[in-house]
Amino acid sequence: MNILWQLLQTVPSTMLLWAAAQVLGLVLAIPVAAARMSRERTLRWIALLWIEVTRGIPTLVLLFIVYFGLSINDFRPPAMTAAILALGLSSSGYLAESIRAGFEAVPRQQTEAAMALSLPLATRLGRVLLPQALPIISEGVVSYAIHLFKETALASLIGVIEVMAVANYLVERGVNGPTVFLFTGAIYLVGCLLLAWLAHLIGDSGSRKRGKTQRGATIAAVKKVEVA
Amino acid sequence: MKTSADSAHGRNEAMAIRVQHMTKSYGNAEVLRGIDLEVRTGEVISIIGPSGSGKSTLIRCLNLLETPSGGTVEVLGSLLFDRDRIAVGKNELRDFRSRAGMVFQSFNLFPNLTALENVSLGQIHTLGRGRAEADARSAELLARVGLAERMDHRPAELSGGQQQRVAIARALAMDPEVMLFDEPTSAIDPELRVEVLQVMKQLADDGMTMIVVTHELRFAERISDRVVFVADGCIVESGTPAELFGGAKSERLRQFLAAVEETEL
Amino acid sequence: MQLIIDLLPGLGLTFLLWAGICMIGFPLGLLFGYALAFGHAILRIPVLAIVNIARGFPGLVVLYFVYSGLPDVGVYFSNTTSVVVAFSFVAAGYTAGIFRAAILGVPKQQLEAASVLGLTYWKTQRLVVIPQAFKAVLPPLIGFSVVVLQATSLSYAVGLREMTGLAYNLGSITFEALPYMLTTGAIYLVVCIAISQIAAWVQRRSSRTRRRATPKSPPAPTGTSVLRAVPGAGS
Repeated sequence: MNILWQLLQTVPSTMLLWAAAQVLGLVLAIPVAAARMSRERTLRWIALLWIEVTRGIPTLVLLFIVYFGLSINDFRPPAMTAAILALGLSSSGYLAESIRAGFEAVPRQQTEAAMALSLPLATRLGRVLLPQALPIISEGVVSYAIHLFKETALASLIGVIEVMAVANYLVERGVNGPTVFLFTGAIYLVGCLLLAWLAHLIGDSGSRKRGKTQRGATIAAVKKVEVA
Repeated sequence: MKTSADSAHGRNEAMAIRVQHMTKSYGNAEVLRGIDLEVRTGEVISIIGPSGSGKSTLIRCLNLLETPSGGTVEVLGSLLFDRDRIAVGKNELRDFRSRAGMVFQSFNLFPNLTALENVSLGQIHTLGRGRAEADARSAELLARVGLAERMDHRPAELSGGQQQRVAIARALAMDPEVMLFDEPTSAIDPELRVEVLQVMKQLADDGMTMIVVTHELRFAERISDRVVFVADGCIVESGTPAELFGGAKSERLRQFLAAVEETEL
Repeated sequence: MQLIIDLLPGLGLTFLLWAGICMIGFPLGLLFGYALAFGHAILRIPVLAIVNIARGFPGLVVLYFVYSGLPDVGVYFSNTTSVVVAFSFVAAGYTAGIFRAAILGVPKQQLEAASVLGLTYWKTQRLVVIPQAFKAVLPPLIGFSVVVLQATSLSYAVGLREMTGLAYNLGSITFEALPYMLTTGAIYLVVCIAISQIAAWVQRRSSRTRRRATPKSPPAPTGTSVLRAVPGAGS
């Protein structure tokens, strides 16, 4: 139908916003997570502050803050840029916590074993802890990705032309409201279901590898030490 | 507490439990293969055997917590299962269940209620007793199992041995004619088991009809009128404690007893 | 600061909306949760569809549907009512999962214990399942109510002057949008943290007198060794 087609045309826009925000969020989340888990009290507190702020302020308010924050006099920032920035910031807090949760789920004994074997930090992190933390981190990242996909609709309120914006435009032009919004919602719903299904696929292949990874990681790390 | 004899059922008059050729399968796995068991009123039967032999399933079929796949099950004069089908309606089953008390391996006390409330709950809501009457009876039973001072404590504040004693009191509060024990001490620290076993012994001495699935062989020897050895889903041997523990007839039982002796001090 | 005072009426409306949404959405979620946990397929499938829509549609879409869409079929809601209706629906969808998990999380052994005491199905639900599920349900429910509070900010989209809408309005009049928005953000932040802290405090208080384990773990094998550490216990 014509309505659906018009809505679908802006899906690439939505996807761009989603993907960019997700990437930005992850990029920001890694240092924040690292700080959160560091031994330095100050770093931990700064990270905690960052996380609380980005999670405590509603996404819409954050969008406005970034949008107006980047406005000087009559200059208005490109809506898409502001949206990506705002959503990225908003994501970083949650994603940082996901990363932390992943690492904290690895049993302490793994770290202790790695230290007892005098494995260098990079090896300990990269080959022992990370592979075991990854499944849980991925779960968190994917579940947030699904949430983020729906959040992109908020960008329409600061002027980004994505699916939600088109929907409102159509309704203003007199197209039947319920129909338009049902289609709109359906697009998001289908997107979320696809993402969830993808996550399921990755999760399954991951758990098949997981059994080998725990032992494999420690064994591989030990081998390196022996050779050295 | 003397049990009343069952209402006359011809030659089943003093028969508390009658199981004929009971079978139970989970899909393709046969857990019970043709169990025949008769328990007279006032008898204390211990069921022993290796893990996975079907002991728990057997006892749980007696009050239909598990549904048998075949055979006949008659308990306290009620035909529960006959010719491969459940023979009681939901209401009848509920009535029956309050006459056959059950004590679980994991106690299963209600965590949001105190010991007293746990023991009173069934009395109030199934037997229809008033709160005051129920609480009085509960206090009496809790005193009997040695927990008078712990009446107002929640399960989380009680040790395993104490929780199980409350569970026994809770089952007794329904004035059952039969008590079923599914590995009552397996989940309790060894040094706390004695208190539970003492309560059970007292019950047996008072004449309660009891079926006890247990790993405590010495205890089984002491309190049982009959011991039943179950392995691989069948009753391999059954008889008095003297017969089974004195000189086992079957090779399987001898193997079992030897293995158990190895692990005990 | 003056900014805060200006925004207070907005905060009042925010709280009102928050209360309304929770009071309608959560009980509805409980019904959905029960249907999903125990209902027959005839009941479960439509409820499942509703819940998936409530969770799969962005909140903004649902809001627009109610406010701008329904009028086209003759149903008119004020902006306030639209917010409450739309978000109660979404809240019910999300909390259905929470309630279902809590109900099913009560261990099977508890149900067995109730049945050997001869309790009827409904008595078991009322006396055994719900009290235990209640404890499991509280933390995620409070966590979700914080999400609801933040969601009320979307009311801006339908012109409602709760805090965000008011902030935007005042901001455009005075050309001081950023300060207003920053203050708004700060107020939300403080309120959300306050709620989380109160919830955590309540959690700590109730677990001091009650069992620490979640309803999922059976009382027994872990129970004995944990109790060793609790003073006053032990035979």
